[in-house]
Amino acid sequence: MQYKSVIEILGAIKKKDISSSELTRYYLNQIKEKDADLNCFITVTEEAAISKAQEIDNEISKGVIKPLSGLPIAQKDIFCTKGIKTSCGSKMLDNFISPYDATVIEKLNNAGTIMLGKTNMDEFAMGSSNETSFYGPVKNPWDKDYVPGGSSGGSASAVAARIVPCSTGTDTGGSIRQPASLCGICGLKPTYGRVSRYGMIAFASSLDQAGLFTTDALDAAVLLKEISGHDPKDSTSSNVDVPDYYNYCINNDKKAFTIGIPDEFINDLNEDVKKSFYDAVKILEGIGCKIKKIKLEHTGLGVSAYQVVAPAECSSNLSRFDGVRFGHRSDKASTLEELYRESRSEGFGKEVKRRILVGTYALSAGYYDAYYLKAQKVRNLITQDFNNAFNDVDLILGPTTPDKAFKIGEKMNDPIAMYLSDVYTVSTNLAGLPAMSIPMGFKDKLPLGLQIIGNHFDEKNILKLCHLYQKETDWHIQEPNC
Amino acid sequence: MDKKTIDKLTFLSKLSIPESDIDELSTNLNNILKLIGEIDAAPTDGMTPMAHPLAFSQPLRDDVSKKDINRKENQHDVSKTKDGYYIVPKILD
Repeated sequence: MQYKSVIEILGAIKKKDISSSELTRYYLNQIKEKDADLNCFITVTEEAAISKAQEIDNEISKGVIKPLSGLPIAQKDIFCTKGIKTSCGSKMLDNFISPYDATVIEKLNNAGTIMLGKTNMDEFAMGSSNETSFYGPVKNPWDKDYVPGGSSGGSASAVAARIVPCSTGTDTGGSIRQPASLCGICGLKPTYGRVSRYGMIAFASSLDQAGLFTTDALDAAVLLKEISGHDPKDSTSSNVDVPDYYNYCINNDKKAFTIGIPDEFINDLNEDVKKSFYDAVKILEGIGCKIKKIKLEHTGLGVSAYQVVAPAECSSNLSRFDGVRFGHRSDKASTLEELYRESRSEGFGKEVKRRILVGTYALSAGYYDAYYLKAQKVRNLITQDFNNAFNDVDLILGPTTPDKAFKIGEKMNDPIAMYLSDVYTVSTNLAGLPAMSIPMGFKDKLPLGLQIIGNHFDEKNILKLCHLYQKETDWHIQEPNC
Repeated sequence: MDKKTIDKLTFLSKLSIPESDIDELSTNLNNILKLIGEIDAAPTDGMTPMAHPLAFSQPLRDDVSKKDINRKENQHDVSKTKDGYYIVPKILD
């Protein structure tokens, strides 16, 4: 494909160098050719995509150009899509056809995108390797013996393999940034409340946030503008103004960012990741950034606090799956109690059940104060650490993950090792901060990610710094041979 | 976490776990409790519990009734519904 980025694609469509139908067919063929092996998609919406592309071509011929006219995109299968299966990677919703569109889907559809299909994911977004999906594991396009990360593994792998130019994801504890890091692409988790959660199947409501996968930071800037903003259907979405991120990245002269590097993100790193990280730091210093050592004293407790808060919210959110109104219904039940229990036991996988049980424990009488209340206080401590840091620095920098991708199956029987894959990402979710992972190098031919964390609603400066870094490096344009 | 606690949790969360999986589950849950137990030592005296990351007051919609989703569309799976109601096993004898 001669058009390497979203911006190039949008430019080519606008100039009529390529039609939306041609582009859509190109990417659908790529999916046909490569996805049998990668397993990025749960559903490919070929017919609807071709029809929407023709509609967009007709509009363009009449001079109607929308902000994302003709752009093919893949949607994580956690977003409800009207008339199309929305499984959330679970047997529980294998038969679920949503009667409405999520706001993210509606906004992207209205902006002119062409949905190519719904991407594979860890079941109910609970996982860091995409191995908990009912539809089987997704593979990392850089080496198919390795995981792509999770939970948005299908969306990340598809963009990395260039079988789609961009995709959506969701991030509750790192589910956009960690797979972006392991797949060598850009993954943006906006501020909590920046993007509506309406129609996004809930895992942990105070942590979940929708975001994006692209190959280039500028592409994320263009897409973020379209999905952001207050939504009356989600009372936790914010009223904060949405800037023109792309114009800010291109036209604002700011370069001399003060960047904080927390000791806690660096101390335990292996030498290879540390070297790639400090190479990235040197590039940023060369641009004119000032580097400052900072302390985020309590982020070490992030995974522990997260593993209380997220399961507690998940045990509550997933109580809606009872076999009565939607989702899997057991045919073994003869009483209502059995219907609930059998439907849930047959419909949920191991990891989801484990998290429901942990959450139920943390919320149960006698344990609430020791676990849930305590975790909420730790959450506040972690947030205060970030707030204090942002008094002195513009952005915070660290690695996205402790290491490169791990092998499929390597951590499946060790939930703690799996949870620790998110050690550098969960704290930002607890604090509700925006963050982005961009490629910063390779270890053993597998990608490594650089994480940039910003203050609340400061996505523009995260994107700007990523853009400046990508002007100086070529990690983001390297493609896997898959 | 012993079997009795797991039984209580599965009852509360309406799940059943095959007997053959209990030992593995118990080991994993105990390891998870050890991990989350690390928050015990955190200096949280005087800290306010934080339930939500943003200190916004939630905007409210106008109090006007709307029909965003119609019942027919919502109940398209006819195997679970009859005359607009959901079918469940008999509750009363």
